[in-house]
Amino acid sequence: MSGTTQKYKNFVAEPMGEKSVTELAGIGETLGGRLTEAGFDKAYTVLGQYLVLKKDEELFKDWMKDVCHASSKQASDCYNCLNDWCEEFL
Amino acid sequence: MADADNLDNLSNAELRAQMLAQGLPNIPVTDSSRKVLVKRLRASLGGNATLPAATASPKKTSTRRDTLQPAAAVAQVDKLDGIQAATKTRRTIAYTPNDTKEAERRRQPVNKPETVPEAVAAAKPVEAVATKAAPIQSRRISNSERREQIPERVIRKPETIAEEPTVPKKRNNENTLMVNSLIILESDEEEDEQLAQAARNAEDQYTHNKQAAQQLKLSATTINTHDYVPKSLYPNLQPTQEQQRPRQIYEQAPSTSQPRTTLGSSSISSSLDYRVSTGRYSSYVSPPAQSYITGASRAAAAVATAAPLGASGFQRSAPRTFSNEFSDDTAEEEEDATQGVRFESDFARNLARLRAERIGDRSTSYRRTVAGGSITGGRRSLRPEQNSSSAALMRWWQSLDHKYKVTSKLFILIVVLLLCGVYRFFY
Repeated sequence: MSGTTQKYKNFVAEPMGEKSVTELAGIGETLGGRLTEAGFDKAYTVLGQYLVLKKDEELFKDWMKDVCHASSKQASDCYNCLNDWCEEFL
Repeated sequence: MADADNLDNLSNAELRAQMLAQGLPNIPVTDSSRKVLVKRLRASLGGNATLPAATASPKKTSTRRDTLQPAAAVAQVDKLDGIQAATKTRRTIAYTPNDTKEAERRRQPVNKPETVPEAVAAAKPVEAVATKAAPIQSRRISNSERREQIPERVIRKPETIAEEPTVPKKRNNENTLMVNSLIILESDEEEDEQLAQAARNAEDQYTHNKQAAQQLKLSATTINTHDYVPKSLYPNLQPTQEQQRPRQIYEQAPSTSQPRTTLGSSSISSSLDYRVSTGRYSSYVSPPAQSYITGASRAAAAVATAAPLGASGFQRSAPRTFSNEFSDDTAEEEEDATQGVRFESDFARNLARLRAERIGDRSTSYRRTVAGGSITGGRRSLRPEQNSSSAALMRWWQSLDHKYKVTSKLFILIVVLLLCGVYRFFY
């Protein structure tokens, strides 16, 4: 599942601090660039959006697809990443 | 689609109001989340056909949370364990019907009507078990979700119930330790202390029981207590009785082990020395010997004034026999003790020599040497196993050296061999 990727593990392992948005699982250079253009340059901004959407999986994925044209898998990876991070640190 | 335009033109606050009107979750409408929310709202407004799809996500979240929360709650309960919320304790009822108290405790919070039968159950604990079966099952069916947790709880419940039984268990362990004391010989030295302690405890317990039994037997006239000193004024008959009594008990107990009777006081003392020096046996077995010495010596002396001491000695010896009685190798132990007698005088030297003779067998296993037959060797050979082989070799060498002056001879032999070698080499 999502826990298998190293990126996911790295992100969930510690507080996100000032991490870049590209540190999120499922978000690479391309999506990161689009997100940064949309104003989401840090991981915590994406987290903020995730929280504003009240952790709703469907809404968040829709938002991801809308903002940075993420694929379903990318959106899902990002959602899982944030969700697990929140379970750990929030 | 006309709505769509309308929705896009709505302000964030209006949009949120619309969403609430549609029964959608109250999500803050921001510029970033607006698009998504409008899409959701449009889906819900588009028709009832799309409604389920739209509401699917809220439903999902609710279900997800439901599943999550119980899990968290269960985790907490597992931590607390002892202090159980009523809802969680419910699950375990069926599995622990024996404990009426706990079942009652759980029931009261669950169902008020059921509390009435429980009051009855409290009065008749045995019947309570039977009465419980029906309500439990009904409840069971109602909350099927929690069945998963049941096995854990089941395991835990007996612990609290079994608290009392655990105490006797401990005692049993002590006894087993005592019984298996010979097996323990192979164990680590660290454990020896514990084992000795356990044996002592068990013995003390036994002595206590024995004392009580003896007191009952001997009635008022012959009470074997240390407070008895003032009664030494009594005629000689009194102490002799005391001595005979315990002795009978003592000899009856180890009826299988004959060698005991053959032991003399002096020999025993020597055996004690042996054990202390060797260390292995001493921790546990030596006390009986010692106690026996005191008892026997007193008996031989048959001094009337010494009665209290002698009695105490016997009392102590009795439990030791008890402990030995259980050991399978009692006879061997005794033989060992008698062997100790032989080596008492020049113990160190002889033992060293015996070890030296046995050194060949050291590589063989413990069991084999014991079964091997010659008990003198077999027992001795056990000892060096504790010591490092190098130390044993040293001792062996010393003994050899003592007897045959090996060093000098060997030196001469080596020199001769060297000379021969040199001679061969050059010619």
